[in-house]
Amino acid sequence: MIAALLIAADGVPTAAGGGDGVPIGFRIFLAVLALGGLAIAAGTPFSRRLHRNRAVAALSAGGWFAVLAGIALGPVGLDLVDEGIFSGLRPLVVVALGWVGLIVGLQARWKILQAVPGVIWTWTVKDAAMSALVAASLGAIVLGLAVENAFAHPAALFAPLATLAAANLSWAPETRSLRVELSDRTRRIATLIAAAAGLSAIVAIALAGLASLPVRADGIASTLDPLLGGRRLAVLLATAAVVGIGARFLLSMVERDSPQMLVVVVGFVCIVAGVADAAGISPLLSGLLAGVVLANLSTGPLRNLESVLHRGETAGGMLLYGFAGVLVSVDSGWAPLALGFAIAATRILLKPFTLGQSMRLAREELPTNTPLRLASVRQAPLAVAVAIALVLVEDSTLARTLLTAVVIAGLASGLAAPLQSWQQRSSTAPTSDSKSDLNEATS
Amino acid sequence: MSRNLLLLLVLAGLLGLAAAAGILSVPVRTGELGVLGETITSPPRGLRDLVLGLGVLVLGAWIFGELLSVVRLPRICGYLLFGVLVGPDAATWRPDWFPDILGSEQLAYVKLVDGLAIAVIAFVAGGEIRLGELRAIAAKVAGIVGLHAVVVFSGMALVTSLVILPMVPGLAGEDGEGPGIVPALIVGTIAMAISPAVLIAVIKDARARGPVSRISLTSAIMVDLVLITTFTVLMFAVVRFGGGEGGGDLLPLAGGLAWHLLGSVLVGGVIGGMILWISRAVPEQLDALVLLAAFGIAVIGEFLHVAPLLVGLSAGIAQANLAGHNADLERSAERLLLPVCCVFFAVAGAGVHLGDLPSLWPAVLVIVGCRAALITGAAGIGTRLVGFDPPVRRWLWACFISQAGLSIALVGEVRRNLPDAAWAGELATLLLAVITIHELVGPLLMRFGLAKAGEVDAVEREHASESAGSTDSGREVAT
Repeated sequence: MIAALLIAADGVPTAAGGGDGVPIGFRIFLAVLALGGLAIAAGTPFSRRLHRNRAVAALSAGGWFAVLAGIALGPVGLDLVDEGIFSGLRPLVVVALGWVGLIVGLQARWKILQAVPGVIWTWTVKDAAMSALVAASLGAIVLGLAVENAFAHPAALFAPLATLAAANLSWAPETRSLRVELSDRTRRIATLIAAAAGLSAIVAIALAGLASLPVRADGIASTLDPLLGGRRLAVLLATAAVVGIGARFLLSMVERDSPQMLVVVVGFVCIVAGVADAAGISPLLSGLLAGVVLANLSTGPLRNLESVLHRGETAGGMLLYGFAGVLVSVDSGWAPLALGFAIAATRILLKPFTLGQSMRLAREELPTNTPLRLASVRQAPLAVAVAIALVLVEDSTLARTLLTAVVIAGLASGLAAPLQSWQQRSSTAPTSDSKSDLNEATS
Repeated sequence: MSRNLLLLLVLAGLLGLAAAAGILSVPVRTGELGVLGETITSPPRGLRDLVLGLGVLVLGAWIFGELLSVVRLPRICGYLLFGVLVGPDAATWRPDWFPDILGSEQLAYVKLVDGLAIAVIAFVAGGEIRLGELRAIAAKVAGIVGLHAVVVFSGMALVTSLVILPMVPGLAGEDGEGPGIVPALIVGTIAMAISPAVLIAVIKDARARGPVSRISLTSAIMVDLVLITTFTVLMFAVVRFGGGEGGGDLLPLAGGLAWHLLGSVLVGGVIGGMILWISRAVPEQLDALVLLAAFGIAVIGEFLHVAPLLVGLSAGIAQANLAGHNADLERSAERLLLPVCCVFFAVAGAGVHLGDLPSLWPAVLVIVGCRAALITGAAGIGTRLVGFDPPVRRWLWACFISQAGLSIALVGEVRRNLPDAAWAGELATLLLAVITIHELVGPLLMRFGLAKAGEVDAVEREHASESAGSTDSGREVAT
């Protein structure tokens, strides 16, 4: 339909008077229609029925459909969303990132963190250290091979490599698409997996965001400026404090009024994301900090806030995946491909290992043939958001190369886990599959 | 600590944040080479500050509205005032410490949401209209609108010819070859305009219901149709016979006009039907659906040369009157109306041309005063002639004063169609100053009129009496 509209629009005179181009407003509309339509379609009962199919569920959980739609719309495909259009859609991406950061930050309630078992902390720290080290090393090796004099300016590599490391933390918290056999034990394990994923998400955003704070990039020489980092952090903390305290008061004031609640939530999300964008900081980090402050200041009005935020979760996720597809770069040669597949391969090798170790610490025995073993292989959807934030902070070809690598790693790892699971299942006799859905309630 | 003081503190905190972000703002870089030889591009300053500006605009306008509602003023005045305060024209008056929230560059970007906002506002207004009820009052409203158009147009044209043209020398043109009565006709046409967007916002804000609300809204929509038709014909005549650019044949003009009006209704009807159909399939994504549809209406309006206001209105009417009407869809649109109104009216306030007022105030006052008198007279006589009840006769005029988006757009059209005429620039400045006054005073008068007609808070009173009725009947059943 989009293609038909595009062809139809091609003959329409533009504002410039020519007849050979599609008006920019109409192209923006087509892009939003495609991505928004996909987001809306994801919430339909038909889509939910479709997700009962294992392959569809796996592809959808890995963001394949939205990323492919983005690639089709972007410069690689129809070129409907070129640089000019992306520039016009940029505010939407900034808001979506602030939104995601706020949702993650709201999970960091002190009481909840205190209740997190020690084994989850150990697992998160071990996995974070190992994953970050592996991803950053792989990034450094590939960039060293692909870019001449890559290490002449180490400060320029600091934020991109930290982003790559952060993107490799965490994993997809949902386990429904893995079609796990339902039992008390698998349910417990799925809960642990989701909890550790949530904790890792906080670490990932903090790592990528904080690493970009002291980088002063002025084109000639990127340097690390601790003073600038301190000032940026102060602005972020001030934002978190003002938004946290202000939102707490306003949310309790408008608790029973849905339109006013929407005004307060939209306003604060825009402010959280906007302050960061104006100051050249990741909107994810800004959202995270504001969410943390808000989560620890109030409880009652938070439920309404969370319900408004979660209403836009599917649409926001689809939009970010779509934008990632649009931003995918094919001009960077072999580097993103090699880096993406290398990261996916190390995830397949290392993540089940740390998972198994942590389960042993928790005295939980993983069933031998459960797909849950591979749950932590699938890259977290958040990784794409972290990589997009890097592009927003500094839109360079290097940032886009790394984003492309993250997208490839996400698609590959998202597909690898269900494939392995399917292979394991087909090699062993299936038991009862009638109740094999591990409900998302576990996450 | 009182609620209002806390609201002010939150607002102060937001302005402080905007100032802090401004200090740390990053430099704009386009096509620079990074240290690794890669290309670095950063967005323009206005785009980078846009999200922050929008956030402060939404919350600040809403807080200003809440503060004004304490003294029983319409919230929309608060939205407008906040826009005026942070807009580019007020920059010279503001203290140095005040952050630059909405400069000209950001305003240009934020104005892009105007079409979307108008579509949402019109969609909600359309949802309120039931065709059965409309048929019952259509003939009477047409009478009022006809009289309004004739009296205001001819009266204002006369006043402009006799009083304003001698007062403002720039309107007379150069070397004795002036534009004649053209400026008077343009003033007469634009003076007819009433803003349906303001009417809807004030009615929603005041939770008003009753004949004055209903008749004023229907009239404003009809006046818009008359206004667009008159303005298009007038511009065609001025351009064709006055030597402006873009003159053409009458037939394409008539065709274009017919498409502009009928096409809008047709496109709106189709979109309304589609939204209704899709809404049944995505009951959990109605907010996104409404926003997507409004965005579509805004873009398609420009693309197909139809009016977003009419398209949105027709879409709203279609979804409300077609079989299987979805109440959740309407609730969703109404939920979105408040943030949309905050942005729309704050942006309108930010666009106010404060700088023009001091030099033109005598002429502006004459136009504002005469227009108000003509509107009052026409509405009073019209409502008596068609036989409306006393509250409508007495207070309908108060709803006809406000002007906003469409009037400003028409002024822009005057400048666009007559780029070489110096008098057109002068006239545009004068008209923008007049619209500014109507923008600020209109909502106040309307709220006053609705209160006097006993329609303010009527929705709540109806709900209260309904629930009391149901409790009584419950008691009777229990007895």
